[in-house]
Amino acid sequence: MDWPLVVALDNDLSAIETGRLAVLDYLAPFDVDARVLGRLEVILEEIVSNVVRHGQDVTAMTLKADYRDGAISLALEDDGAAFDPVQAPAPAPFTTLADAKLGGLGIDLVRKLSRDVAYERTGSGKAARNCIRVTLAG
Amino acid sequence: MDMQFSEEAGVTKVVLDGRLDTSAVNTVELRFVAGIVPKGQSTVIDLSNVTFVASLGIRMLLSTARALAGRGAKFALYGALPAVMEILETTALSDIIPVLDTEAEALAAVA
Repeated sequence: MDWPLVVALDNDLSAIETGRLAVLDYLAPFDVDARVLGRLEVILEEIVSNVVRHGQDVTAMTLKADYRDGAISLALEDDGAAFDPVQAPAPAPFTTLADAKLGGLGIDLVRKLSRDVAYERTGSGKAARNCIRVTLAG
Repeated sequence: MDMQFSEEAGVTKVVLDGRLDTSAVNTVELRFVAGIVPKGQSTVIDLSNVTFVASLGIRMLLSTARALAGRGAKFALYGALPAVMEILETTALSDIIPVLDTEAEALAAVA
């Protein structure tokens, strides 16, 4: 698949803002609903910050975006050790303040705000990459 | 993100302004918690100028509410814009922390 937007990101928190501005700029001509853009920003924040906070060995991160047929696809690749965030179990539903778990909220938000989220490990050796791909209705 | 603390009849009021994203939480969380929890009094948070919230922001609100509850004080949010409200509801934070429309309603909820 040829991605119309491909952005290299540094492995630090600046990647979130760099990625956000690049995707919003790419989507600007498509008249995407503001509510969808809000969800997209949350998804982007969660998947990029997840790599930045947990992928200490990551040296290269690439964000891709595509808008077609009324759907937005995002892909984030990194060269860190194999890690599939999608496999994390959904956190238990909140019942009381005392019981509410603080972890796992980010990937759960990505699942709930998107149409589809998938993880793939591609390549091998030095070319091995984690790739998380998210699709949401545009 | 900007943050303003004030007192209203024994209730701590905090006005948040800006994006409550990962970078903002890293910057403001310590001051947010330090401005609320040690007082041990009920607290309302004005979200009407918050344009974005993600999971770290939800975690900051949840952990602060929990710390206050441990001291017998209540915590309520108000004025959330639709995009922020969607995240409060999607994470189910709004199931365990009152989220009201107005300051008056939030003050009544923690009274």
